[in-house]
Amino acid sequence: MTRADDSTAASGLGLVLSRVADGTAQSRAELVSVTGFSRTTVGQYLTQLFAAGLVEEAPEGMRRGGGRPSRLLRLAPDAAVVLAADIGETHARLAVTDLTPAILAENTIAIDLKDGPIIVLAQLADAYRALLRTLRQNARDVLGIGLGLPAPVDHAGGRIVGPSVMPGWDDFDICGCLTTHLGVPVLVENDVNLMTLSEFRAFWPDAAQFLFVKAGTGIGSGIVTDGRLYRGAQGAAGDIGHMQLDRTGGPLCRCGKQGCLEAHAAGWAVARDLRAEGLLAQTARDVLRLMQAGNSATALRLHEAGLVLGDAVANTVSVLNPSAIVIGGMLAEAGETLISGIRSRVQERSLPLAFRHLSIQRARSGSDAGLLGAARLVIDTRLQPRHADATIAAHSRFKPGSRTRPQKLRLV
Amino acid sequence: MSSKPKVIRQMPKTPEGREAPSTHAGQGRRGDSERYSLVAVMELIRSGRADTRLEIERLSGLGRAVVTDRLTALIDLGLVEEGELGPAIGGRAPRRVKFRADAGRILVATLDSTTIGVGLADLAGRLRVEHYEAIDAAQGPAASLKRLDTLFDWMLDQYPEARDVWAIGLGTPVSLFNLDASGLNLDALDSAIATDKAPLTENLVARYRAPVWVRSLVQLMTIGEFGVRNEAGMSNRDFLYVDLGDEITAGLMSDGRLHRGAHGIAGQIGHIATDSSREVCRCGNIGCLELVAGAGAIVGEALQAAQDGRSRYLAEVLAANGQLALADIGFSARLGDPYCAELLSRCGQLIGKVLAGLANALNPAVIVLGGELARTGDILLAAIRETIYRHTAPVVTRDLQIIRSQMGRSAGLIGAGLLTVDALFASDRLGGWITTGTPLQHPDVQALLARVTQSRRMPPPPDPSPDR
Amino acid sequence: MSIAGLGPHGERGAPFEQLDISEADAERARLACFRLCVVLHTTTSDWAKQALKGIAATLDVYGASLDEVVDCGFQIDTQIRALGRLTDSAPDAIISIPVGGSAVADAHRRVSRAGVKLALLDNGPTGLLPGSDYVSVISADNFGLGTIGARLLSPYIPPAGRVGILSYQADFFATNEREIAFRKWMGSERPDIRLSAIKFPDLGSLAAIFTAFLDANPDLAGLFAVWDLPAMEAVKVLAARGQCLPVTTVDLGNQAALALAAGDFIKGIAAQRAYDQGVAVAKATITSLLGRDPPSWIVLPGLATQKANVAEAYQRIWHEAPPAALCVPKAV
Repeated sequence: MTRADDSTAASGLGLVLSRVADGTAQSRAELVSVTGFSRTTVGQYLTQLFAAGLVEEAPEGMRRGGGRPSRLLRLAPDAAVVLAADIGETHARLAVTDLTPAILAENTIAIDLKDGPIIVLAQLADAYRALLRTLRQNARDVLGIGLGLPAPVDHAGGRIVGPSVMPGWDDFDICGCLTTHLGVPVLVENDVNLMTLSEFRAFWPDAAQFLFVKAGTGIGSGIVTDGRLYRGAQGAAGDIGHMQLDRTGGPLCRCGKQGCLEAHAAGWAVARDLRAEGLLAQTARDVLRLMQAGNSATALRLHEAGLVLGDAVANTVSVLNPSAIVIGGMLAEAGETLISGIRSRVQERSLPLAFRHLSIQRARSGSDAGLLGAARLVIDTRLQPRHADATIAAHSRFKPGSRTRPQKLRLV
Repeated sequence: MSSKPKVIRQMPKTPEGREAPSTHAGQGRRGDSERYSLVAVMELIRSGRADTRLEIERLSGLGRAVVTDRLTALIDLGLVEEGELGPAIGGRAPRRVKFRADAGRILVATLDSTTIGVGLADLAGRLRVEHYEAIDAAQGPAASLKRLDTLFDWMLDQYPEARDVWAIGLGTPVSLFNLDASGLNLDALDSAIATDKAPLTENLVARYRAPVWVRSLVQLMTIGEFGVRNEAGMSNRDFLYVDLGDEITAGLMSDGRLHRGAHGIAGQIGHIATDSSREVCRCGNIGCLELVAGAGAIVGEALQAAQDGRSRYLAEVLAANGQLALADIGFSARLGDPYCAELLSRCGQLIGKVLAGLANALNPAVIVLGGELARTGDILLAAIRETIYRHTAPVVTRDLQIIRSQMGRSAGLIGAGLLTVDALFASDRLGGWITTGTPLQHPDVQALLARVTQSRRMPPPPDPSPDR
Repeated sequence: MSIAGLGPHGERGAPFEQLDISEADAERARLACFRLCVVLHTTTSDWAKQALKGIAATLDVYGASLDEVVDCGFQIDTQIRALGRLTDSAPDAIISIPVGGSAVADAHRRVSRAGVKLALLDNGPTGLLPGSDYVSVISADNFGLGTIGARLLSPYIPPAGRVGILSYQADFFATNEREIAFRKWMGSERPDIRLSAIKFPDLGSLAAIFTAFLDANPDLAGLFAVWDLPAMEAVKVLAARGQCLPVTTVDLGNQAALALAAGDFIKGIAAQRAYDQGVAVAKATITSLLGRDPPSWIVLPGLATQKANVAEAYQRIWHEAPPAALCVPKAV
């Protein structure tokens, strides 16, 4: 059977770094308990990690029971930088972040996904080089690149699956191509999954079973189980937008089927109904603007959308039993108008035990969620026990052998 | 060769100083790094990733002397044994080492509203023996638990071996969990599901002097299906197991890991709403899938059809046997009874519709259909398959397999064994007992046993009835 | 007659009457001329002879040939070798009664892996799965047989009496089920009775073990044996000591039937329907060879047999006229 965590894949030093990086241990005492090493051993490893500039003690510590304040351990934000991208149909937002992750520099470039991966990825590489130059960083300091794409992604293979979504990209080796350009590890992920990861790690780290619903012009979701992204066999997990809620019939969906959740509750469907009432609306943004302007028909329609969304979320709750559900995307800005409907349907349809401690709230991340999620994915991955030793080798500041850097980190 | 890994691998040794190989396995207090390397070597061997000293050295990064010492220690502890010679590369043929699956044994059981299942498993999760019998639900859970004790006792007596029971794994439907018990914590060694006055697990711990793991039955069946398919080389690391019986439940495996849910109750898909019934379910909701497509619901409908003459076949069976079973409906459908064929097909569509939504949301590689209803034959399965394919996105159905389980209830017992063994050998727990050679010496288990002994000695709490 | 027990994987049993081959299918079978082999634990017991008769008669009906019958003499190694050899000869199907549990599981698994259909009698070795590893287990309702054994013995046992269970110390599903059921019935209907297991690893050592037990337990009031041969061994021991105890068991073998008719020791027998079981396993095998899935657990309920109905039961079970000795008591 598979291990819960491949903790023996790293050396002791790597394991300590991993546990600090993933937040399971924030103090020496916690490190002792999660690694099973003695306090002395932990102290010696920490000394090495401090010297390497990989771990630091946070400025202010927390006070426990009025005792001596213990200083919090954390990954040193400036130990390396991460390149993140949030890629849309017509533009890509690119950023360089530190390991917090916080954005150090960013840029939005115009692209056309239809140009195909070879052209678009070369554009990204150029833009990243420019960003790094402005920060006076070079590729040697880059921990990795994280790309968010609006399609199902085979994360392990670094490819997009589903030919219909992005022509020319299906099955193209994105990681391999971009690695050739920049010489650093590349990770590819679905954009809703990245928003999920960002929201989860920043605001809900204790909710081990977590569901993020993006209600915008379309509807999608991201699932976190035991603290990890749940991707599914083809990376298409989370597609609740086309869950069919009517036994027969129902409104026509843009996927060609009838009665899908989207056809009832997505921004485009709400806009469709508002247009039928003579209002001007095309996108989720238009819908929101109408509601904020005090249009009561819109508010009513959004509440209805919440109820239907609640039915779909309730189905997901039945199978997943999450501890927190967060609603993001443009429609979530409607606040309780939308969310109260979701909450009441989920309460109605769930087993009492499943609902009792279930929190259903609006997302707290802002518009950077996709970018920060991409950075987070890179940080999480490169500091897993499996990669921790390699990361130490590549990013230690003071250590013997730093002159013999691995070849792959050489600037292109 | 690259010099990078060498530098890193040696780092952990630096703070410890040089490690002197110890020759006394299981004696005295072992140092941290010694314990750490024991755990590392044990995990490499148990997972099958390494079976020679050289492989262990290569994969663990530990030095030759340390690996030799740890292997000697693990063999002395009875956790590892030497096997045949492996293929020689250059010099002498290496001696293979393997995990001793018979070092301890696990009592496993499943308990639902109709059936009790018991078994004895080894540390590879293989069943030595299994037995199932029908239970009389009217006698209540206490009678079933007493039966559990009797059957466990009988098995230990019939298969006497000089090995300790290391743990007990028990699966039961979420609907039998005591939903009102406060502080339900299924991660604890003694998970707190209570029946009658005494907690179930406490009785078992006291009787067999071993820790108990209790899990949702469908989740254990999922682990069992996964384990057996994995061993047969059919590993699909993302799959959904669906149990179709009186209750309809599901277990989800993602990337080879079981998804348990926040309260360990993930998979209650029988309570997903369908809009084809206004009946009120025992969960308090209307139109639950279970109410229209569960085994009980189907038998209920068939009974009516037998009585009002819509099905001549069923009427005959009812007249002959005085009752109808699910198998009769499947059998009648195979013989060509149009009513039964229509009934099974309709239920298959309802189930398929719900599973299609879940397949979209979860994107499994395989959906395994098990349970009594899945054994009624091809009509129901064909309807489920067809409905799923019709209602899911192309990217999801592209490589989706929908297959029938062949394991029957064995999946639950095998899953209980696998889960329990994995829990005992989880790296954080393994470190707590490996130097003693038995998980029964783990401090948490010792504390549990002491606590149970203590609470048994205490007088029973006063009867709260008013006449006292 | 309902089915009391569950299958080796917890299945609900399908009554053997449900195995029905349509005339069209029968015609297809006859055209196909299937070739089958049979591997039995023994061919000398009355049960085995009758089961073989049922198999042969049924195969005849469907135009299939019985190429070879192997007697394993209860030996695991013999069975493993026989299965290997027969599989190599590539028959269409093998009918086997596994002589052990996990020890013979792999040998059986290889049969179906080689593309030969495998149908099992009575025993599903732990670890084998229906569908992929075998077609069906066709079995007596062993749980029901154990229950009948307990029910028939109970009236002869005084309150708080001690009852011995001659228990087969082997990894064997069928005898395990009988013993569990016997204990369960006694536990719920006669909780006053004290049960003692007398475990025997093989028939040869039974007499000595049982004698030692009798010496140590003079208060023994009755006995249940998990099949008829150990029961008759025990009866010999009792007769030699001049000790009279009520005994019930499973299987209406000739000797046991005569002993039941005589009425001295044997008070009741839970009879298996060996001939019908042979018919059922042959039908299930043919069904599967025709590309249809028979149920994975096909069950034949047992028949409670006492002195009063032993002649009748004999005829029903063995499909032949009972020996004269059985009819005598009835005339008295």
